[in-house]
Amino acid sequence: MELFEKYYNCYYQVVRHILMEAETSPVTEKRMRELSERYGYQESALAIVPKLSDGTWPFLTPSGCTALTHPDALKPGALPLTKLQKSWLSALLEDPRIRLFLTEEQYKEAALWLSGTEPLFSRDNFHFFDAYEDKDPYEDAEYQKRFHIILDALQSRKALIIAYENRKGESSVREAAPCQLQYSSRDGKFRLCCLERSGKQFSKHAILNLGRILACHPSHEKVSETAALRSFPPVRRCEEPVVLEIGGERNSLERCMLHFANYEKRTRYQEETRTWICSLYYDTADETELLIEILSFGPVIRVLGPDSFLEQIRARVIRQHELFYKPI
Amino acid sequence: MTEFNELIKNFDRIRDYMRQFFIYGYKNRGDFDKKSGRTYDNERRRVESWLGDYVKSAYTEKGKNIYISVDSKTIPQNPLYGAWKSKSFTDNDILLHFFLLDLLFDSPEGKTAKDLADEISSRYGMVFDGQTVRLKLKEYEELGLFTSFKQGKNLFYRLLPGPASPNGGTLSPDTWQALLSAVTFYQEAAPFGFVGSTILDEADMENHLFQFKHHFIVHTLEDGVLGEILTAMKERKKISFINRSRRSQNSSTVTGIPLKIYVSTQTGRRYLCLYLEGPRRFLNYRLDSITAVTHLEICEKYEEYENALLRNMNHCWGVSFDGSSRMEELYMKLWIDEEREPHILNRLYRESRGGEILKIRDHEYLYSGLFFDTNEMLSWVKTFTGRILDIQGTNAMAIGKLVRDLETMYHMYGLPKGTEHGTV
Repeated sequence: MELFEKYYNCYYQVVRHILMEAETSPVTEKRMRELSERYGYQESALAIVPKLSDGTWPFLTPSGCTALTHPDALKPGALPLTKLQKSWLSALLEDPRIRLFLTEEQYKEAALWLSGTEPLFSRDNFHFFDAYEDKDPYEDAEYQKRFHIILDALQSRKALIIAYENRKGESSVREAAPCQLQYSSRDGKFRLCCLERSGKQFSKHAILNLGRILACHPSHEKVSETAALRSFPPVRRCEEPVVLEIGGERNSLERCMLHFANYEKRTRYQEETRTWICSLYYDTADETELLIEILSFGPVIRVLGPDSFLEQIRARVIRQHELFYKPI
Repeated sequence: MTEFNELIKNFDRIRDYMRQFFIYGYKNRGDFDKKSGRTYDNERRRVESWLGDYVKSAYTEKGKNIYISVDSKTIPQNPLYGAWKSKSFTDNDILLHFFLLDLLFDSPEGKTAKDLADEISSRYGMVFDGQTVRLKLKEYEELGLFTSFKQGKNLFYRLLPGPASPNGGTLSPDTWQALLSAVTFYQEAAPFGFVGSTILDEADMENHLFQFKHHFIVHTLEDGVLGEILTAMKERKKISFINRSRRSQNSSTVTGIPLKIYVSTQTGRRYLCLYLEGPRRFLNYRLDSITAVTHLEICEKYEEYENALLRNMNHCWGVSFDGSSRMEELYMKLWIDEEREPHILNRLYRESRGGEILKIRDHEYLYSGLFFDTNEMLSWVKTFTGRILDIQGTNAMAIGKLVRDLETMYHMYGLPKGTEHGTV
């Protein structure tokens, strides 16, 4: 099955959306350009709009209404999935996390629907050699139940009452408005990004590990539109980036660029020192994690700043030296 | 001069440019020396058009450079999927796409290619010959959208029902919605996530539910190669491919038996684990270095090699089956305050990859492991900088390198030189 296939071209999606709008009212060129930008690329309008306007693609009447007879065919879910799409879905049914989304009955229905479709891949094809060993218990029925409740609350904008156990093993009950579920494939963990109640409002940012949620149920309170819309900032960006100097020995440039590819970053070559300077912007919640990642490179990269970060590196390096060489 | 077009015929060329912009954002126009300046300009413009605000530019002494900068947690969908949705098509392709779907949508009895060509002419005023229509019908049948059946001498085509079709969906609405929620997750979390994103496109859904941490979006560009390898694995076939070394830039043809895809969740890198029959060994190749995969004959001993890999993979710290001796031991004594820092101890356990952990006395833990290649472990060992009381192992060179590295770091950060060293 070919992945790079014209059927999936986003221009088809642009035209579909234009035609859906043209079912109820005439579509202007301005609107066509807006839809082209929304569902296509930045310059797609230049290719699409003239062809629709001059009749090269005669999908619209001169007044801008649809010329097609069955506009329902364009509605979401109306057309069949391709073999590739079904084959991909079929592979998902082998994954234990699918039970977090589907009830037993839904799973059976989906499995029946996809029976006879060969999965695109199998879990056995892959070996995640450095994934952490304490991932969430996806296959545990209670965990699945809690996940369903949280997902439902997230979709229906309901607040949740949550019994939570912290790192020290102390439990407490809190009320929170769910904002998003965060997933890390390295940790194999889901975390709930939410706004906890503080006084009368949901305003205190919190990230709760789903594995530590002991119990939860939806509260009677619907999360107000404003609180729900005030989405949880995915990143609390550092004020100053960590600046790294990369010399290039031991393939360090390539390794660094790949390793830190998930960070917002800016790299430039410094002619006079023949080194690369990389500025990494990070989430302040992940500072220690970044510190450890940088240490893992050893001396092939040098932290230039900021001072607070540099101090943390220095403290660990000095401590290490003392552990090795200072007489006990 | 040909007109600029956002769409492309061939994925391989743009794959390389996007990687360069994303991974190595420091390159200038002149650094892309293999292609002409015009080619660079077109590819840059294309990538800018596809990725919009994710593409940034800056000026250096050597000129403008383009880079893609994004924190993976802030994006609802991998913007590089845009590349997969850029295959060029002809006017006939898009015309027949919408005409045929329109004409077959409400036609459970089906239509022949000739009927459809006639109806296209009468309804939309466009003339297509029967053969052109027939080819498109066949193409969509192969994609899984249409089905065909014979009645007398005539071949009829019918549109298959959609999962939530107004004419009667193939799934109950609840199940379809639940499945779509799953797709919003898996489009980023599963291999070939781009396929999931096309399902969301057609369902007019966007991901607002999930954010992804430790997420490496660039590897979608290798999915074409991955697909070809997985097909060979399914068919238990040998393959050959061109491998381009990232360090030397030299290319070589490699032949072997594909057994497994090794994935690093910490860097996103993916590797093909290949069995080489000549030297009788396993070797991992980075997927982003592989091109031109060719399927060869079926390997009769596939299961035997697969079992041999299963026996060996627990002793592989990362992706290396090398090592100066057959198996190498490593012992590391760490200082951890288990009461104040239980999270450090937890980290040691969850990152140990099968190594043993023993409490020697209060605040002192011994980690021991038996792996093929100590060198691969050194990056991990360095994450415990500031806690290593002692380290020993059978690969003395690797241990020596680690100790020197830690010492170099001590000097690097402006500390007094000439300190008397004891032995470790």
